[in-house]
Amino acid sequence: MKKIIAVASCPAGIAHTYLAAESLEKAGKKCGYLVKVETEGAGGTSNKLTKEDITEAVAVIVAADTNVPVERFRGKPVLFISTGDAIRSAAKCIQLIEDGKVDIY
Amino acid sequence: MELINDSLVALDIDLPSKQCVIEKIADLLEESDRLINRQQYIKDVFEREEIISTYIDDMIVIPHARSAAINNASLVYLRLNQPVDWNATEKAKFVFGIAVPADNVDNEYLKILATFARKLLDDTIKPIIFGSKSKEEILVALLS
Repeated sequence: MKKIIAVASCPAGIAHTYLAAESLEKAGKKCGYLVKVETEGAGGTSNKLTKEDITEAVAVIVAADTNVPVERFRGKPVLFISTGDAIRSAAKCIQLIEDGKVDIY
Repeated sequence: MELINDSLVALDIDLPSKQCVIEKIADLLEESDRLINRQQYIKDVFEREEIISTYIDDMIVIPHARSAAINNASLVYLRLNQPVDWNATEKAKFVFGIAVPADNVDNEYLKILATFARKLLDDTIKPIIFGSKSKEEILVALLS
């Protein structure tokens, strides 16, 4: 299964981070992608992306309203959006990746 | 103290504005002895809204704060009879107020809230939170 990886992070780290993660996972699944989302919340980082995850992924979605570490994604197509975009327009984001319209970071 | 209970749910109430909605959340938290500083809590919620509106979809909003004004992690649900203007373009009718103490890290409640947030995108629970007259049924849908 093709894999997309993502990072989600919001200001309080209580709700939007997880809403964004859920939304991206759902939208990805519908299009046949496995989406692994690292969540950076108030309780810490969960589901941390490994080097293997990054290597395997066809693209990266950074759904963040805060600064998250992105240097590790150098050379991959990376889509930068807000958690709000991820919650409301996840399907569109997956489509952009499918269409190869995401720039290499 | 549990995250949410009957007294933190108010169904089919009339509130005229966003300000009144936030005040009402503060009322319920205060009545349950979950607030240390009401004014601070309200200020923190509005500051969080300023960064980015907490509007989600389907007239659902989740105003929240992680604040020193709060002493127990809490979830409040208000269902309004009439929608209120939440920001320039969106209206709110289903309001989930989330309150977490500032020093609350690595707490089991944060995990419950994370699961709860994910649930808000689950279309199967929406008919219950939108329409059920039973607080019990709503609590089960939110937490199970």
